[in-house]
Amino acid sequence: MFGESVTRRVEELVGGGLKTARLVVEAAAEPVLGAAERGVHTAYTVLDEYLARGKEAAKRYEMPTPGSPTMSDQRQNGMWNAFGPMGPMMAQAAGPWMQVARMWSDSMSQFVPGGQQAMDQWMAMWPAMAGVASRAAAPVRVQVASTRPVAVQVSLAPGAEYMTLGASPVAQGGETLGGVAVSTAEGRVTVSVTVADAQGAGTYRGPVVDGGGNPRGELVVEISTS
Amino acid sequence: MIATGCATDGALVPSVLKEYGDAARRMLFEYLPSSEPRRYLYDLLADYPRRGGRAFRPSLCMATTRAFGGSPDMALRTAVSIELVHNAMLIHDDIEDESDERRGRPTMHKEHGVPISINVGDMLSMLAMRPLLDNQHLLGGSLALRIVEETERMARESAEGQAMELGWRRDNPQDVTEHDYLEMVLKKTCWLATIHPSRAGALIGTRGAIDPDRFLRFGFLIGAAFQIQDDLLNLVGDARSYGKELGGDIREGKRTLMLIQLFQRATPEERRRLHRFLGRPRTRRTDAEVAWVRARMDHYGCIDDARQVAHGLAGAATHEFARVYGALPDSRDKAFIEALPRWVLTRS
Repeated sequence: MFGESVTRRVEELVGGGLKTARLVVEAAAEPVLGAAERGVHTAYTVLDEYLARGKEAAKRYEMPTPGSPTMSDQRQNGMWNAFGPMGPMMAQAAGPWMQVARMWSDSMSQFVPGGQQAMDQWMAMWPAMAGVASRAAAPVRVQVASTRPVAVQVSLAPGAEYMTLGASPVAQGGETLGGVAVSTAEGRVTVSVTVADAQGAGTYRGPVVDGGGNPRGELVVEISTS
Repeated sequence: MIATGCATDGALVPSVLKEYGDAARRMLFEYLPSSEPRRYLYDLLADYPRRGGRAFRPSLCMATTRAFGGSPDMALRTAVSIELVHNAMLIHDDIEDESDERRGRPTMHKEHGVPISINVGDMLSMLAMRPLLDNQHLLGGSLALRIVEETERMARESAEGQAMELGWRRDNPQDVTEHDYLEMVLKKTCWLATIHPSRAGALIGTRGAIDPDRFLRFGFLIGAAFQIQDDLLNLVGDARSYGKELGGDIREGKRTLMLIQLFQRATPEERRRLHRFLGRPRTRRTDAEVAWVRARMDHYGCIDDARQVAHGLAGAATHEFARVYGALPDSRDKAFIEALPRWVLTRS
């Protein structure tokens, strides 16, 4: 059943984990991926991805330092908290392009817990709120100002709409997306995203946190190139 | 006090399983209330635990504690909690899988109905909290709370894995890969069967002075080998010792490695037929169709392939054992854990 040769072969193959396994496979002059080797290789890939996801999640849900600029009270309004002390300047600089910005309703989406029907009913109360698409029941309003197509995904923990919420840095690699604000009032969540023309395209992610800095959800903003 | 004796080679694993399993089972029954309503609840709590089982999970927890220098008594309540959660999940799994047999007898919901069985499973899950709370007298509040957190993590991972499998069964996708399967097994099987018992056991043995993530690789690899072997036994095992309906996984539409391989190797026409078969309710899947699926698995070497994967994973688990446990002093418990990858593949 369980041959020593198989054990030895696999041990040779996976010595040092996935990287070694890959090196062995790549360096082999002849195909070495029998079922055992393939299974081990796949298993280490699954593990590495699993661990990487955990590491990434831990990073994203790291408790913000109290009083840090991103959560400071120096914001001028709900739109600019992510700029911290730079908020007023950014608001002034962004003024002209904001005037020509348009809502990209066809490219926005929200993903929040619950069903479609209740959200549609709630949405019907806001006939003038152009550019907001809904896919769930939690009362979330998304406002986007951008000259490019932008997709916004909001995932919130159940009950988060009744907490004081804010956005931690929404970032992609080292680049932070300014102009992101999350606020709540009477069980309704408002997410505002303002994208500057100079902002790089890509997918920006960041946690939605409560007043104590605890993660209560995630915000994903996808900015297209044009 | 739990005695520790000596056994060698093939006798070691069964010997340790019996010793630690008996200890855990004895204490488990002490946690089962004997008040009313007995007929519809409390008498049924003991049903699955009384049917036997190898007590693999509690034994691994206790052996790990001892291998890391603790006393197995320190891990006993955690081991009981693991066994209670395991039995609770078995009851719910049997309902979700529409299984007919468990450990050689009709499943609980076949004997007592679905509503009562769900409630019994719920109660077993709740009861699993009690030994963890009692841990604080033995382990101290901080370590006891840590074990509760570990248990919560395990329960979450298990439910996520179960959700993946149930989703596949409901939506009948044709593109589930070996990678998807192993990810599902990591969550559904390995966290409860091997990762959690190892992590909790080591935390207890070291009084919380170890990074439990060290046990992810070993736990995953041996747990995945365990699951694939379990799925193989469903096809080629001995009906009496297996305790469940042979071929039942095919009838249930369970996404095993063999079925995934068959999807990948079958002709387009065979794939369509397989898809139609899996798209029907379980009660409308005929014996002839189950036999056809099984024959195609043989034809394409899916069973041999899966067996090789299980062997490979067990070999890799042996490799990871050396990395995690290698520096520990030799002991019966260390030898038991080292012998598990081989035992996983040779059990019937």
